[in-house]
Amino acid sequence: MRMNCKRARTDVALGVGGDLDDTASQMLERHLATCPECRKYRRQMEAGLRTLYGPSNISTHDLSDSVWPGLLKRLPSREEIHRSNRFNGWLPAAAVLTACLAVVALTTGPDPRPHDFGGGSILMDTISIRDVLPLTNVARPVEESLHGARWIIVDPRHPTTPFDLPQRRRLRRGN
Amino acid sequence: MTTKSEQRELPADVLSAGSGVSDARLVEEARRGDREAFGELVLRYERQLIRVILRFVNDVELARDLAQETFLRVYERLDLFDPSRRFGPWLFRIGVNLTLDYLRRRKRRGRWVLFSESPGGQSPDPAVSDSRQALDVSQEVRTVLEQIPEKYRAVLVLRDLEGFPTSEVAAILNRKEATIRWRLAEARDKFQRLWLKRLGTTTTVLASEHSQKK
Repeated sequence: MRMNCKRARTDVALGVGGDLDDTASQMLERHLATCPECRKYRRQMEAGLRTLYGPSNISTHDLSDSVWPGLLKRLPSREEIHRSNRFNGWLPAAAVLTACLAVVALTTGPDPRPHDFGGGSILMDTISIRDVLPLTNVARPVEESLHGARWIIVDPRHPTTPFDLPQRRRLRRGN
Repeated sequence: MTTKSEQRELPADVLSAGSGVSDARLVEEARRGDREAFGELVLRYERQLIRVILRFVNDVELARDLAQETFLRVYERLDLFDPSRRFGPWLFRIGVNLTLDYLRRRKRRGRWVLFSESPGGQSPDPAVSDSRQALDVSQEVRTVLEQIPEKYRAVLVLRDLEGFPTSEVAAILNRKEATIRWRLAEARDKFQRLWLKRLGTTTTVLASEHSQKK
Protein backbone atom coordinates (compact mmCIF):
# COMPACT_ATOMS: atom_id res chain seq x y z
CA MET A 1 0.00 0.00 0.00
CA ARG A 2 1.38 3.38 -1.01
CA MET A 3 1.80 5.87 1.81
CA ASN A 4 0.53 9.41 1.39
CA CYS A 5 2.61 12.44 2.35
CA LYS A 6 0.51 13.37 5.38
CA ARG A 7 0.94 9.95 6.92
CA ALA A 8 4.61 9.94 5.93
CA ARG A 9 5.25 13.21 7.76
CA THR A 10 3.68 11.89 10.93
CA ASP A 11 5.95 8.87 10.67
CA VAL A 12 8.95 11.09 9.95
CA ALA A 13 8.24 13.06 13.12
CA LEU A 14 8.14 9.82 15.10
CA GLY A 15 11.01 8.21 13.24
CA VAL A 16 13.55 10.99 13.87
CA GLY A 17 13.18 10.38 17.60
CA GLY A 18 13.34 6.59 17.25
CA ASP A 19 9.64 6.13 17.97
CA LEU A 20 8.75 4.09 14.90
CA ASP A 21 8.70 0.30 14.65
CA ASP A 22 10.66 -1.53 11.97
CA THR A 23 7.73 -2.24 9.64
CA ALA A 24 6.60 1.38 9.65
CA SER A 25 10.20 2.52 9.16
CA GLN A 26 10.58 0.37 6.04
CA MET A 27 7.33 1.71 4.60
CA LEU A 28 8.49 5.23 5.31
CA GLU A 29 11.85 4.68 3.64
CA ARG A 30 10.09 3.40 0.52
CA HIS A 31 7.98 6.56 0.43
CA LEU A 32 10.96 8.85 1.06
CA ALA A 33 12.85 7.26 -1.81
CA THR A 34 10.22 8.62 -4.19
CA CYS A 35 9.24 11.89 -2.50
CA PRO A 36 11.75 14.78 -2.41
CA GLU A 37 9.38 17.01 -0.42
CA CYS A 38 9.15 14.49 2.40
CA ARG A 39 12.92 13.99 2.31
CA LYS A 40 13.34 17.73 2.76
CA TYR A 41 10.85 17.61 5.62
CA ARG A 42 12.89 14.86 7.28
CA ARG A 43 16.09 16.92 7.04
CA GLN A 44 14.36 19.89 8.63
CA MET A 45 12.85 17.70 11.33
CA GLU A 46 16.23 16.15 12.14
CA ALA A 47 17.81 19.60 12.43
CA GLY A 48 15.00 20.80 14.68
CA LEU A 49 15.26 17.80 16.96
CA ARG A 50 19.05 18.13 17.16
CA THR A 51 18.48 21.65 18.47
CA LEU A 52 15.97 20.38 20.97
CA TYR A 53 18.27 17.61 22.17
CA GLY A 54 21.16 20.05 22.23
CA PRO A 55 22.37 22.29 25.04
CA SER A 56 20.41 22.32 28.23
CA ASN A 57 20.74 25.06 30.82
CA ILE A 58 19.40 22.72 33.46
CA SER A 59 22.87 21.29 33.99
CA THR A 60 23.99 24.71 35.24
CA HIS A 61 21.58 24.54 38.16
CA ASP A 62 22.71 23.13 41.45
CA LEU A 63 20.38 20.28 42.32
CA SER A 64 22.60 18.77 44.96
CA ASP A 65 20.58 20.01 47.96
CA SER A 66 17.89 17.55 48.88
CA VAL A 67 14.33 18.65 49.58
CA TRP A 68 14.07 15.89 52.18
CA PRO A 69 15.13 17.87 55.32
CA GLY A 70 12.53 20.57 54.61
CA LEU A 71 9.95 18.00 53.67
CA LEU A 72 10.52 15.96 56.81
CA LYS A 73 9.44 18.93 58.94
CA ARG A 74 6.18 19.19 57.02
CA LEU A 75 5.25 15.52 56.92
CA PRO A 76 2.16 14.75 58.99
CA SER A 77 1.95 11.49 60.90
CA ARG A 78 0.06 8.61 59.30
CA GLU A 79 -2.53 8.87 62.11
CA GLU A 80 -3.17 12.51 61.23
CA ILE A 81 -3.59 11.58 57.58
CA HIS A 82 -6.01 8.77 58.41
CA ARG A 83 -8.00 11.07 60.67
CA SER A 84 -8.06 13.74 57.97
CA ASN A 85 -9.08 11.18 55.35
CA ARG A 86 -11.92 9.98 57.55
CA PHE A 87 -13.08 13.59 57.99
CA ASN A 88 -12.70 14.27 54.28
CA GLY A 89 -14.82 11.21 53.60
CA TRP A 90 -17.62 12.52 55.78
CA LEU A 91 -17.40 16.10 54.58
CA PRO A 92 -19.10 15.67 51.18
CA ALA A 93 -21.85 13.56 52.74
CA ALA A 94 -22.44 16.18 55.43
CA ALA A 95 -22.47 18.95 52.82
CA VAL A 96 -25.06 17.10 50.72
CA LEU A 97 -27.19 16.42 53.79
CA THR A 98 -27.08 20.07 54.83
CA ALA A 99 -28.02 21.18 51.34
CA CYS A 100 -30.96 18.77 51.27
CA LEU A 101 -32.19 19.98 54.66
CA ALA A 102 -31.92 23.58 53.50
CA VAL A 103 -33.96 22.82 50.37
CA VAL A 104 -36.63 21.04 52.43
CA ALA A 105 -36.78 23.89 54.94
CA LEU A 106 -37.12 26.48 52.19
CA THR A 107 -39.82 24.64 50.25
CA THR A 108 -42.00 23.62 53.21
CA GLY A 109 -41.38 26.52 55.62
CA PRO A 110 -43.36 29.75 56.11
CA ASP A 111 -43.61 32.44 53.45
CA PRO A 112 -40.37 34.38 53.80
CA ARG A 113 -41.72 37.52 52.05
CA PRO A 114 -42.07 40.53 54.34
CA HIS A 115 -45.58 41.48 55.29
CA ASP A 116 -46.83 44.75 53.92
CA PHE A 117 -48.82 46.73 56.43
CA GLY A 118 -49.27 49.71 54.14
CA GLY A 119 -46.70 51.83 55.84
CA GLY A 120 -48.42 51.75 59.20
CA SER A 121 -46.69 51.07 62.47
CA ILE A 122 -46.71 47.71 64.22
CA LEU A 123 -47.01 47.38 67.92
CA MET A 124 -44.08 45.55 69.34
CA ASP A 125 -46.17 43.28 71.55
CA THR A 126 -48.19 41.94 68.60
CA ILE A 127 -45.31 41.00 66.41
CA SER A 128 -44.26 37.38 66.11
CA ILE A 129 -40.74 36.09 65.67
CA ARG A 130 -41.57 35.24 62.06
CA ASP A 131 -42.30 38.91 61.41
CA VAL A 132 -39.17 40.10 63.11
CA LEU A 133 -36.89 38.16 60.80
CA PRO A 134 -37.23 40.44 57.76
CA LEU A 135 -36.70 43.56 59.87
CA THR A 136 -33.01 43.70 59.38
CA ASN A 137 -33.02 47.41 58.73
CA VAL A 138 -34.29 48.36 62.14
CA ALA A 139 -30.86 49.09 63.50
CA ARG A 140 -29.72 50.95 60.39
CA PRO A 141 -29.61 54.73 59.96
CA VAL A 142 -32.80 56.49 59.01
CA GLU A 143 -31.60 57.29 55.46
CA GLU A 144 -31.08 53.64 54.69
CA SER A 145 -34.39 52.65 56.22
CA LEU A 146 -36.21 55.09 53.95
CA HIS A 147 -35.08 53.11 50.93
CA GLY A 148 -34.64 49.64 52.28
CA ALA A 149 -37.27 49.02 54.97
CA ARG A 150 -40.94 48.84 54.26
CA TRP A 151 -41.83 49.38 57.91
CA ILE A 152 -40.17 49.66 61.27
CA ILE A 153 -40.84 48.55 64.80
CA VAL A 154 -42.31 51.21 67.03
CA ASP A 155 -42.32 51.19 70.77
CA PRO A 156 -46.04 51.29 71.83
CA ARG A 157 -45.23 53.59 74.71
CA HIS A 158 -43.85 56.23 72.33
CA PRO A 159 -45.65 55.76 69.00
CA THR A 160 -44.17 57.71 66.14
CA THR A 161 -44.87 57.97 62.47
CA PRO A 162 -42.94 55.45 60.36
CA PHE A 163 -40.15 57.05 58.40
CA ASP A 164 -41.50 56.15 54.99
CA LEU A 165 -45.10 57.23 55.62
CA PRO A 166 -44.78 60.82 54.29
CA GLN A 167 -43.09 59.55 51.18
CA ARG A 168 -45.83 57.00 50.58
CA ARG A 169 -48.48 59.67 51.03
CA ARG A 170 -46.74 61.86 48.46
CA LEU A 171 -46.64 58.95 46.05
CA ARG A 172 -50.33 58.23 46.50
CA ARG A 173 -51.13 61.88 45.77
CA GLY A 174 -49.00 61.70 42.64
CA ASN A 175 -46.50 64.38 43.71
CA MET B 1 4.95 -2.78 19.42
CA THR B 2 8.71 -2.59 19.63
CA THR B 3 10.24 0.74 18.71
CA LYS B 4 13.75 2.04 18.65
CA SER B 5 12.83 4.25 21.56
CA GLU B 6 13.30 1.33 23.88
CA GLN B 7 16.95 1.31 22.93
CA ARG B 8 17.35 4.90 24.08
CA GLU B 9 18.80 5.64 27.43
CA LEU B 10 16.11 5.64 30.06
CA PRO B 11 16.21 8.00 33.02
CA ALA B 12 18.06 6.05 35.67
CA ASP B 13 16.05 7.46 38.52
CA VAL B 14 12.72 6.67 36.98
CA LEU B 15 13.21 2.97 36.90
CA SER B 16 13.29 1.30 40.25
CA ALA B 17 16.79 1.17 41.55
CA GLY B 18 18.50 -2.00 40.53
CA SER B 19 20.13 -2.32 43.90
CA GLY B 20 18.61 -2.09 47.32
CA VAL B 21 14.96 -2.15 48.27
CA SER B 22 12.28 -1.93 45.58
CA ASP B 23 9.93 1.04 45.32
CA ALA B 24 6.96 -1.15 46.18
CA ARG B 25 8.60 -2.27 49.40
CA LEU B 26 9.49 1.29 50.36
CA VAL B 27 5.95 2.45 49.64
CA GLU B 28 4.58 -0.33 51.82
CA GLU B 29 6.88 0.61 54.69
CA ALA B 30 6.08 4.32 54.27
CA ARG B 31 2.39 3.47 54.44
CA ARG B 32 3.00 1.86 57.81
CA GLY B 33 4.54 5.14 59.00
CA ASP B 34 8.23 4.55 58.27
CA ARG B 35 9.44 8.02 57.33
CA GLU B 36 12.93 6.82 56.52
CA ALA B 37 11.49 4.58 53.82
CA PHE B 38 9.70 7.55 52.33
CA GLY B 39 12.91 9.55 52.60
CA GLU B 40 14.62 6.87 50.53
CA LEU B 41 11.97 7.28 47.84
CA VAL B 42 12.44 11.06 47.92
CA LEU B 43 16.20 10.74 47.48
CA ARG B 44 15.67 8.25 44.68
CA TYR B 45 13.38 10.47 42.62
CA GLU B 46 13.89 14.11 43.63
CA ARG B 47 16.56 15.08 41.13
CA GLN B 48 14.63 13.69 38.19
CA LEU B 49 11.42 15.31 39.44
CA ILE B 50 13.07 18.73 39.86
CA ARG B 51 14.57 18.42 36.39
CA VAL B 52 11.15 17.68 34.89
CA ILE B 53 9.54 20.58 36.75
CA LEU B 54 12.38 22.86 35.65
CA ARG B 55 11.41 22.16 32.06
CA PHE B 56 8.13 23.92 32.79
CA VAL B 57 9.19 26.61 35.24
CA ASN B 58 12.55 28.20 34.66
CA ASP B 59 13.25 28.83 38.33
CA VAL B 60 15.18 26.40 40.51
CA GLU B 61 13.72 27.53 43.83
CA LEU B 62 10.19 27.33 42.48
CA ALA B 63 10.92 23.89 41.04
CA ARG B 64 12.23 22.73 44.43
CA ASP B 65 9.13 24.09 46.16
CA LEU B 66 6.87 22.33 43.68
CA ALA B 67 8.84 19.12 44.09
CA GLN B 68 8.50 19.31 47.86
CA GLU B 69 4.77 19.93 47.49
CA THR B 70 4.56 16.94 45.16
CA PHE B 71 6.23 14.63 47.68
CA LEU B 72 3.97 15.94 50.42
CA ARG B 73 0.88 15.14 48.36
CA VAL B 74 2.27 11.74 47.48
CA TYR B 75 2.85 10.98 51.16
CA GLU B 76 -0.68 12.05 52.02
CA ARG B 77 -2.13 9.88 49.25
CA LEU B 78 0.04 6.80 49.70
CA ASP B 79 -3.04 4.83 50.72
CA LEU B 80 -4.57 5.53 47.30
CA PHE B 81 -1.56 4.16 45.42
CA ASP B 82 -2.16 0.89 43.61
CA PRO B 83 0.84 -1.32 44.51
CA SER B 84 0.39 -3.37 41.34
CA ARG B 85 1.50 -0.31 39.37
CA ARG B 86 4.84 1.43 39.26
CA PHE B 87 5.54 4.22 41.69
CA GLY B 88 7.55 6.45 39.31
CA PRO B 89 4.82 7.33 36.79
CA TRP B 90 2.37 7.92 39.64
CA LEU B 91 4.77 10.34 41.31
CA PHE B 92 5.54 12.17 38.07
CA ARG B 93 1.86 12.39 37.20
CA ILE B 94 1.20 14.19 40.47
CA GLY B 95 4.25 16.40 39.97
CA VAL B 96 3.42 17.35 36.37
CA ASN B 97 -0.23 18.00 37.22
CA LEU B 98 0.76 20.15 40.17
CA THR B 99 3.16 22.14 38.00
CA LEU B 100 0.66 22.61 35.18
CA ASP B 101 -2.01 23.66 37.68
CA TYR B 102 0.39 26.18 39.13
CA LEU B 103 1.15 27.57 35.68
CA ARG B 104 -2.54 27.76 34.79
CA ARG B 105 -3.26 29.69 37.96
CA ARG B 106 -0.41 32.04 37.20
CA LYS B 107 -1.59 32.45 33.64
CA ARG B 108 -5.07 33.29 34.86
CA ARG B 109 -3.57 35.95 37.08
CA GLY B 110 -1.98 37.44 33.99
CA ARG B 111 1.56 36.78 35.01
CA TRP B 112 2.43 34.30 32.34
CA VAL B 113 6.17 34.03 32.50
CA LEU B 114 6.67 30.39 31.58
CA PHE B 115 10.01 29.92 29.89
CA SER B 116 10.40 33.64 29.35
CA GLU B 117 11.33 34.83 32.80
CA SER B 118 15.02 35.22 33.49
CA PRO B 119 15.77 34.30 37.08
CA GLY B 120 19.04 35.08 38.75
CA GLY B 121 20.58 31.64 38.28
CA GLN B 122 20.68 31.98 34.52
CA SER B 123 23.85 33.99 34.10
CA PRO B 124 26.49 32.12 32.13
CA ASP B 125 29.39 30.59 33.99
CA PRO B 126 32.63 32.04 32.64
CA ALA B 127 34.50 28.94 33.78
CA VAL B 128 32.63 26.85 31.26
CA SER B 129 33.80 27.35 27.72
CA ASP B 130 31.23 28.43 25.16
CA SER B 131 28.52 28.46 27.82
CA ARG B 132 27.20 31.82 26.62
CA GLN B 133 26.38 30.47 23.20
CA ALA B 134 24.89 27.32 24.69
CA LEU B 135 22.67 29.39 26.97
CA ASP B 136 21.59 31.60 24.10
CA VAL B 137 20.45 28.58 22.10
CA SER B 138 18.83 27.17 25.19
CA GLN B 139 16.90 30.39 25.73
CA GLU B 140 15.83 30.36 22.11
CA VAL B 141 14.61 26.80 22.49
CA ARG B 142 12.69 27.77 25.60
CA THR B 143 11.07 30.67 23.82
CA VAL B 144 9.96 28.39 21.02
CA LEU B 145 8.68 25.76 23.46
CA GLU B 146 6.64 28.45 25.16
CA GLN B 147 4.62 28.89 21.99
CA ILE B 148 3.62 25.23 21.77
CA PRO B 149 0.23 24.40 23.34
CA GLU B 150 0.49 22.79 26.76
CA LYS B 151 -0.74 19.30 25.82
CA TYR B 152 1.91 18.99 23.11
CA ARG B 153 4.62 20.69 25.12
CA ALA B 154 4.18 18.28 28.02
CA VAL B 155 4.72 15.31 25.69
CA LEU B 156 7.73 16.93 24.08
CA VAL B 157 9.31 17.75 27.42
CA LEU B 158 8.79 14.30 28.89
CA ARG B 159 9.76 12.34 25.78
CA ASP B 160 12.43 14.40 24.07
CA LEU B 161 13.95 16.44 26.85
CA GLU B 162 13.68 13.97 29.71
CA GLY B 163 13.84 10.76 27.71
CA PHE B 164 10.84 8.94 29.15
CA PRO B 165 9.59 6.11 26.92
CA THR B 166 6.21 6.80 25.32
CA SER B 167 4.55 4.17 27.50
CA GLU B 168 5.78 6.03 30.58
CA VAL B 169 4.66 9.39 29.17
CA ALA B 170 1.24 7.86 28.60
CA ALA B 171 1.15 6.69 32.21
CA ILE B 172 2.28 10.07 33.54
CA LEU B 173 -0.20 12.06 31.48
CA ASN B 174 -2.94 9.46 31.92
CA ARG B 175 -3.54 9.07 28.18
CA LYS B 176 -3.44 6.15 25.78
CA GLU B 177 -0.09 5.45 24.19
CA ALA B 178 -1.56 5.99 20.71
CA THR B 179 -2.68 9.46 21.77
CA ILE B 180 0.77 10.22 23.09
CA ARG B 181 2.42 9.08 19.87
CA TRP B 182 0.10 11.25 17.80
CA ARG B 183 0.72 14.22 20.09
CA LEU B 184 4.45 13.60 19.96
CA ALA B 185 4.46 13.74 16.17
CA GLU B 186 2.38 16.92 16.27
CA ALA B 187 4.61 18.44 18.94
CA ARG B 188 7.81 17.77 17.00
CA ASP B 189 6.23 19.16 13.87
CA LYS B 190 5.12 22.31 15.71
CA PHE B 191 8.53 22.77 17.28
CA GLN B 192 10.31 22.37 13.97
CA ARG B 193 8.01 24.86 12.23
CA LEU B 194 8.33 27.42 15.02
CA TRP B 195 12.08 26.92 15.15
CA LEU B 196 12.44 27.53 11.39
CA LYS B 197 10.25 30.60 11.71
CA ARG B 198 12.37 31.91 14.57
CA LEU B 199 15.57 31.22 12.69
CA GLY B 200 14.17 33.18 9.75
CA THR B 201 13.35 36.10 12.04
CA THR B 202 16.77 36.00 13.66
CA THR B 203 18.51 35.85 10.29
CA THR B 204 16.49 38.84 9.06
CA VAL B 205 17.33 40.85 12.19
CA LEU B 206 21.03 40.01 11.90
CA ALA B 207 21.05 40.91 8.22
CA SER B 208 19.41 44.27 8.88
CA GLU B 209 21.87 45.01 11.72
CA HIS B 210 24.73 44.10 9.38
CA SER B 211 23.50 46.41 6.64
CA GLN B 212 23.03 49.26 9.14
CA LYS B 213 26.65 48.89 10.27
CA LYS B 214 27.78 49.14 6.65
